[in-house]
Amino acid sequence: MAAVLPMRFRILHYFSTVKEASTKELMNGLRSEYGSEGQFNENVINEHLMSMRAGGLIETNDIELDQSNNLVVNYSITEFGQGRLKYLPKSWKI
Amino acid sequence: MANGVQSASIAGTQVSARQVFEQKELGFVKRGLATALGSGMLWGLDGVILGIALAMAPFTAGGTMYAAPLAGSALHDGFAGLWLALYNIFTGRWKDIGRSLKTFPGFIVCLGALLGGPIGMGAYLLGINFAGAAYAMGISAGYPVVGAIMARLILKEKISPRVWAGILICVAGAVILGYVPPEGGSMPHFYLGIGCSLLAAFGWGTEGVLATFGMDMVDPAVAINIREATSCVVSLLAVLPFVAGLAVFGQALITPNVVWIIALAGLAGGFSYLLWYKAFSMCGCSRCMALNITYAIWGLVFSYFLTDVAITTNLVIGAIVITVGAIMVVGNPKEMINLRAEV
Repeated sequence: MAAVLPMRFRILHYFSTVKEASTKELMNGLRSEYGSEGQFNENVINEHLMSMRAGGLIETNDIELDQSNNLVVNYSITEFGQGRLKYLPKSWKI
Repeated sequence: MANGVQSASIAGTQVSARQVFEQKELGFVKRGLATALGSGMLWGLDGVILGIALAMAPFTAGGTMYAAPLAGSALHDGFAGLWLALYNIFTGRWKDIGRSLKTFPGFIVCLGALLGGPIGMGAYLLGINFAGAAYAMGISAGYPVVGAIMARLILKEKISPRVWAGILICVAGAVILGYVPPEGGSMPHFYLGIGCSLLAAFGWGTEGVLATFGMDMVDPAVAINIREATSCVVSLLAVLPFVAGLAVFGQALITPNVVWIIALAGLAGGFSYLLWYKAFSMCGCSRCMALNITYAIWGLVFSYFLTDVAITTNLVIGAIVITVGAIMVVGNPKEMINLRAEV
């Protein structure tokens, strides 16, 4: 088992393994690794996503409102974001 | 971009959902700008508090001119690191500190810490010693220009002509505000001093760019914790022993009325840096560096209330110039929704 990554790095890596994901889908994907930690909450993760989007690492696709009128934003990794994956530790590279 | 077309054709909710998100993005940028200004305010407060501590024994009795400021800043960064560690424990981020240190981006954050911490500070003090405060302060105040050039080259940050002008005006304001008449007398190592001052500007400017690069992959709160701890540890092990600073460091640590003032400065400084690093990844490091210069204005305000500084004409003019520059940097927040140019 590879060492646990810093959460923001793992979020970027996660987007390289899926076509796209919303905050909820991302959290479901990472719950087994970070679920017990205080930083693993929607507010913190949304801040990561907003920063990563502003920096051009990920981009938005569909943006919808769900049945309870909550915003559902689907993100995917950009080519620029893919480039940052070369800094992953060896054990995380495919 | 089939998705975009589909969204629009479905009409109603999808279009408005994107509009809601765009508002959120704009709010995020504005929060980033406020965060950068908040960082400047706390940095001004930090400087005033640290100044009070450095005017007390044992800092007044250092063996060399470098001992007191370097020992003071090492102690300050150490306390800032401790406060930030507490913050990271309470917000559940502390496990990310060790994880980040094992990665390349974490290493880059450490490198930024060395450049901005002991190297930047040491070079600045050498610059003052060899070339005089007038030149050293004037040149090293140019660090946001170095930072903006590096951000453009390394991070591909978009910087419009108006923002460039704003950055230059902020730096000019800082030079006016910190102006001291050049000292007379011979300066045999004058050009070495100029070189050291340039190195300080390079170190401080580069720190922001390296930190922003690292924070593409590392949480800002974790990055700044690593930065402060690295700065303190390296200063203690590799700098203070050579400037007779360890004794000053030790004495300050056991002098209760000094250590609590530095702990307080470290609290303001640590959270100033936390806001600064957060703002880097919210609205770009070139803009944040320029906005951080507003610390000089806040420093004046706090000095006025906490110490007996005289408000002179160049202080007032400098503050006005910085404000004009900051307004030009902030300009149109909509420009900052996408920080980096398409490559």
